[in-house]
Amino acid sequence: MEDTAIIELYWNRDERAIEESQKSYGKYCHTIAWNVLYSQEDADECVNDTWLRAWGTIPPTRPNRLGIFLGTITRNLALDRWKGSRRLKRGSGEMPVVLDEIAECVPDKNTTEDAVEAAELQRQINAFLHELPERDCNIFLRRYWYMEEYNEIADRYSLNLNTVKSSLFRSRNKLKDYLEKEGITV
Amino acid sequence: MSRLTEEKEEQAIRILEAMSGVDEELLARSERKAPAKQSGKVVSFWHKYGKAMAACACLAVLGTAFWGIGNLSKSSDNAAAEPHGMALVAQDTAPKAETSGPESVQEAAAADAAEEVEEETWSSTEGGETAGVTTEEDQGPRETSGATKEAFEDKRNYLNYASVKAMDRTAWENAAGISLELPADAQDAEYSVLDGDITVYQVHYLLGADTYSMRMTKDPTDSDISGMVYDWNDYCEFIDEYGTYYFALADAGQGVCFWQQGEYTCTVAMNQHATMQALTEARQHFAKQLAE
Repeated sequence: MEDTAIIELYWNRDERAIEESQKSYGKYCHTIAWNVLYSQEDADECVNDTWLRAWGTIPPTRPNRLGIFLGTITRNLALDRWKGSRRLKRGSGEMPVVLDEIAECVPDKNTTEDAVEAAELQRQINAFLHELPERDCNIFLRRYWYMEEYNEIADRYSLNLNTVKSSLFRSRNKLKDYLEKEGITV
Repeated sequence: MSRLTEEKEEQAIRILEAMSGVDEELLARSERKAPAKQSGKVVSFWHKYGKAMAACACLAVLGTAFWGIGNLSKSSDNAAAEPHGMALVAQDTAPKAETSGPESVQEAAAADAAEEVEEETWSSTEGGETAGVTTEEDQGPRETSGATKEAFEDKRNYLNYASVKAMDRTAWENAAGISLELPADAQDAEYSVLDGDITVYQVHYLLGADTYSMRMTKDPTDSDISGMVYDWNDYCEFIDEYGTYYFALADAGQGVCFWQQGEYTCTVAMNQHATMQALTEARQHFAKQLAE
């Protein structure tokens, strides 16, 4: 079913919206949740919560891209769930590694004075990503938005594994530079 | 296993959370398969046909070598061309091959061919990737706009070593004139000194599952003394608080980082699983000590 038709189902409060969302984007959302949580049960719950959240958000929201809209919900839910469980135990899978890597982008505290709002950080990261070359931006997003493994990214873009790692290394350094220059503290 | 402090982890999570607001267009674009080829990046002739051309070039040069064998002058013996039992050392002498006899002539021709091929391969790499970002003095590594292909060509160095002497750490440090701590988790360290064209102090060690080889020399040679001769496909130049350093990485997982620091020329090399991250960490570990 087309995205517009699924969105119409949500707007019409038709419960088939959830069924159709599951059909079209169940696997996509599950992969996002899995990459964060590395647990079948948690990922399943996360995806179910995604439909529930979407049901509560549409209307009034009318997403431009339903898949990404749902994926974003899944990602946020998965991150929240991961944060809730991490005090009990550091997760396995890609999350700890991804966190290690992304921490390199955190500017040194002494280079900036004031913390900024999360919205500003979000705006700056967006601006930074727009400045990156397309390939590097894509690789960065696959890694730090979708939490994909290096080899998945390499396969997706038909790149060598080292190329992916080098690209991420460079992009992390650039992001750190960028945030420092913009005076962002995290 | 993660090595983050709790504070750093919180900060990293905030960045990941902030990324939830990434523009949908960017995310949609990243969904496309193999966009690198759609982004205007040119796949060069050499990139596509380089290997086939390389094989042809090798055959042609070998044929020429056989044909003109009678006209070639005899070269002097070079005892240092014998393999030393260490992989990295053995690679040093291979391309030079200034030994006598018909077999050696073939080897020399093959080495010349290999070098030509390698140069061609260099020229086929994606130079755009090394486009500069910044050279400002600041904390942390910065990729520079250095013409790294040329830099590597200039700095590639084939050395002959007459002897390789294994020794313990104390004797090695006395010879090198510096006390050098290996990374905390390093294991199975093997220290040696290579004597020949120049004197090189070498240590192999294991970190995790990966073998590193660190070399340094006080002889004046601002060049890559790693002995790594591979088909590099990614190279770049970075600058950090200790100065400029260079990377070269090969598709097969080899990598080298080299730099000049004070009176020392240094290299850190990996025969597999090399990444800029791993090499940078090793480089920073040693550069910090050399700066002290």
